[in-house]
Amino acid sequence: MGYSWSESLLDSWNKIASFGPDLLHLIVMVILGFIVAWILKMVVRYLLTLIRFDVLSYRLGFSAALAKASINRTPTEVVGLVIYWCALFFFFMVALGTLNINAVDNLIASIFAYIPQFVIAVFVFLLGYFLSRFLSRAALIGLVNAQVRSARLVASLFQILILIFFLAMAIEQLGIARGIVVATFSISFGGVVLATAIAFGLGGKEIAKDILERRFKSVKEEKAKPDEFSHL
Amino acid sequence: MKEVDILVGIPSFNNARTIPHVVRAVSAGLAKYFPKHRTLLVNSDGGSTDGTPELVQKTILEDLDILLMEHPLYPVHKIVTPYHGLPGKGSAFRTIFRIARALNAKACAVVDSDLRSITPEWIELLIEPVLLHGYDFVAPYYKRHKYDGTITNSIVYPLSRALYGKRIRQPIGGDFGFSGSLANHYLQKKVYDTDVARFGIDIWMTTTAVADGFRTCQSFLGAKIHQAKDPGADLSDMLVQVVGSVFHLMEAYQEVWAKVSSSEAVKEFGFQFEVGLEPIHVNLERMLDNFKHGVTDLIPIWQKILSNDVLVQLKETTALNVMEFRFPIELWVKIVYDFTLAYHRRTMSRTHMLKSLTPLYLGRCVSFVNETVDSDAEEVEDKIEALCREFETQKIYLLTNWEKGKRS
Repeated sequence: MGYSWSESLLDSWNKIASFGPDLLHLIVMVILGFIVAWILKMVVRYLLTLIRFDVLSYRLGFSAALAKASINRTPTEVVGLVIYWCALFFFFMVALGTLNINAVDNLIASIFAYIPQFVIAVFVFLLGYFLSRFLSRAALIGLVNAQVRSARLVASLFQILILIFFLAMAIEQLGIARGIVVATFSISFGGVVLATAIAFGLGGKEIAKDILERRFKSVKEEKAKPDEFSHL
Repeated sequence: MKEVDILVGIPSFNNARTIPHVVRAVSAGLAKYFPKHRTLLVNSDGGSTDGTPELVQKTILEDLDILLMEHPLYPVHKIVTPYHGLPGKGSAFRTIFRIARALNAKACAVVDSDLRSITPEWIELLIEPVLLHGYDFVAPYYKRHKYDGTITNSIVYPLSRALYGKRIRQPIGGDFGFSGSLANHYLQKKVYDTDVARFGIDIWMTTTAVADGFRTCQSFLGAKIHQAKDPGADLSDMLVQVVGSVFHLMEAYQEVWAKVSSSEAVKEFGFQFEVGLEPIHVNLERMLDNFKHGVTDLIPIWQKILSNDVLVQLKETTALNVMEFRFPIELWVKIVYDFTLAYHRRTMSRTHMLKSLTPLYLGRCVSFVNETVDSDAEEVEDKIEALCREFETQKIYLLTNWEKGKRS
């Protein structure tokens, strides 16, 4: 019982005293994080305004995507906010690291290790989104010019298929239930293709008939009576 | 051969059926009208597999006495050469320009290899304004069927005229005369890896000559009858290349066209006469169907290009049947200008944008056929003239909106 209450109190005080500087570090880092994140946000916004990022986003359909998601901010503001929160998150992680707690250190290490995968997944998804829009628009115009009925439906299906494909790749990249994602994607993709085939053959037999008729009849008819309209 | 006075180029690709006639007409024209000049015929071929280059080599003039006033001092030399670069007429022309520069040609002409109506007089009419009257660029002027050359009549001619102020009736005619110095000027431009290398070369040659201040005129050549175009040549691709070239040139020559507020006639050569043209078959139902299909499905795309009042008017027109269908010229001009603005602002992929013009263009064609079904050639020209004036009137809309989009 040589360990008196006064020693215990002193021991606690020493622990708090040694933890104090770390805590101070944490507070300073968080405050610094807020300041740096705010500065970064403003710099990014300024640069994006300079390169007319909002106009570019409008052309790429990014603005439309934001509107669809009920985000009432300009693309420049959205990117600025993303940068702000990313910077803040980074500083918060670094600040936690100053506490020298093993469990926290391990958590931070695993989070930082996960960031590249997350960034790649976001990039893959965005790429898929823009690609799907571009290709479905090309398909829609091509189908309309070829006078294929239900061009819009076919182009939309085409866009959904591309989006599903890229979404599956993004989730796979994140490593979330890989086996389930691959299986789900295979089943969904196969299902969509099969459903499209059945719908096309049964529900959409008129469309199929129309396309096939155009494909084969037009060649025959045009050979019999060519259109002599010379455009140039 | 170190130098020539006159060079005539014929671009070709699988034109074995028609090229012997073109070569004979060119050779006769050179021998008959320029007997004292050193002349050269250049065939620039895109890798024909039907023996086109061999036919050019083999084709010779017979019965010279029927055609010629006097025997030529020099023979007509021939060069048959493949061209390099992107497959298309533009690349073939580049080879012709290079040969013209290398041989210091004074006057040049290019004629299409699919022509059935070319006569020796065409060569005189394309070369003489350059050689004797000091012009740098001679555009062709043909009599064509009223439904022939609809891209020219509904877009390219009125738009080019409103932009650059010269009334060159067939800016994409395909058969041109030009001076050696203009050929050299063409070679300085770095455009041969764009659509200019394909269908866009004709409008590029005309626009460059006009906008860069070369002396231009046009020669009446009579009827233009040519082998039907390859049915595989997609209309929307044609629009992308031809209309895209006009729009692209607007970017390059903005300083020039912004100052032009009216148009003037250019000097005309040749004796004008009426020609009989065979009726042509047009499937209006199919064209209108394509237009209506576009209005149903392409509205989300056009919303980024056209203003709301235009979209409303377009929707209203779809209620009309093929006989009563009309597409007012005011609406059409507004649409074309909206497309030029969208192209300028890069509202979306330029290829997508231009391809989406196809149904609208077909709608305008149906209306034009309906408006002119009982019209003779003169009345049809009056209609085209009215369209040109509308383009000139609405040019202020283009000018006031041109810079706006860039700032937004």
